[in-house]
Amino acid sequence: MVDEVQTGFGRTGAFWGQEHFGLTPDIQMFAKGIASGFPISGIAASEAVMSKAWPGSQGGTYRANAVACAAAVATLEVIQEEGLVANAAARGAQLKAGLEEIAEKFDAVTAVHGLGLMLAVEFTDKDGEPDGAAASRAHQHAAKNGLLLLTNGMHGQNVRFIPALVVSEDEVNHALSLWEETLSAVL
Amino acid sequence: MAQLSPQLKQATPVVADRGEGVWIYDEAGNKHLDFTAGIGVTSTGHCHPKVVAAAQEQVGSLIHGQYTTIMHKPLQRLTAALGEVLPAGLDSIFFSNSGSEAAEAALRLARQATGRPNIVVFQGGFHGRTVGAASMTTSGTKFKAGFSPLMPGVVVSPSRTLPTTGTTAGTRSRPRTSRCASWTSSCRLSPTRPTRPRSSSSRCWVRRLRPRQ
Ligand SMILES: Cc1ncc(COP(=O)(O)O)c(C=O)c1O
Repeated sequence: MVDEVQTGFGRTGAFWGQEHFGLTPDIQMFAKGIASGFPISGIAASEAVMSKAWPGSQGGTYRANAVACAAAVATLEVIQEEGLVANAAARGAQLKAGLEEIAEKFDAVTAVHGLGLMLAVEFTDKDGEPDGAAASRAHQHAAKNGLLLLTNGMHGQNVRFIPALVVSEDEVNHALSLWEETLSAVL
Repeated sequence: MAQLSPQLKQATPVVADRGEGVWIYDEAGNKHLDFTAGIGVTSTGHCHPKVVAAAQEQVGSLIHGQYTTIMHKPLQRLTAALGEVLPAGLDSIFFSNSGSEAAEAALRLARQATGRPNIVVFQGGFHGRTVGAASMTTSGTKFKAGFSPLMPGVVVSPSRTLPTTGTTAGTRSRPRTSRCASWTSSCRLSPTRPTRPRSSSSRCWVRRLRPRQ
């Protein structure tokens, strides 16, 4: 089984994250990017596997809501028409290169992780331990300066960059300059 | 007066008024560059005109058509459209509402299809907050603490892409799935966890995973 909930629909610069690894799952999960914000998710399997689901095991009152389905169809069309998978790969490469360049200037920033437009910057303290406090300061300062980011990691040591797949070259550059200002202010 | 649960704290002070592309506008008219996309959800940006038009049109014709009671056109169209993009052979689709529900559905199908109870997950993955999905989640103790008993039958394999710092150091071993193979219905992995890089070693590691003999 492959969990493509977050990695699906172009997020990693390929349509599915599994493409980077040559995986061929029996069951695949999908959600998030499918409908641009409407709550809809699911699993896909071969007919042979899916037909082994027991009677009564699949159903639900609200699932496959008609408006969510219509938004999902439109989302898939937009991804195709606007070449958003290729854009995620190109803008992801730009963003990663920029984050790496900025990371060079700050000792506390020890790694830039991720694929496509699913990137994270890792903070480490002087003793080589994950630095959740520094990541949190950067996250808060960025938000105050108009750049909204996420944090994660076992110790909250990562700040994540995960913009919409439509992000432009200028918008990536704008985010990078806000990020560099942020690190100069908090580190 | 009612208020949100104290656990529902916002990570930023933004009170959103509207969104457009990668921008969020607050009530005071300030714009915020949104590099969160609702945790990777708003793929085509906030309020893409084509998505807005499709949703508005659908709201005016049918909002809810429970899918084991009646069929509706958007569901038929979506199933056909997914057929164009899903990996070859994965052509049978079940729909749910959230990532956690998809995790539960995958878990249930794997057990029913194989008749085996155990699931191997890879260290560091997040699969959701419902009991089954939380039991398969190893990205942080906060997602699975305080509501035991969790679901049994989950076996955690070391992941090749674990951090080399802190408490998780020293786990760069091959996954030992063979140990639990006879009871194992499936392996579950995230192609790339948010915090970890793709490296050539992680790709080689993934390629060494083999179906149970
Ligand atoms: C890989 C992955 N699986 C599952 C989930 C759970 O999805 P949800 O929050 O919609 O239940 C998430 C959510 O972040 C996710 O990233």
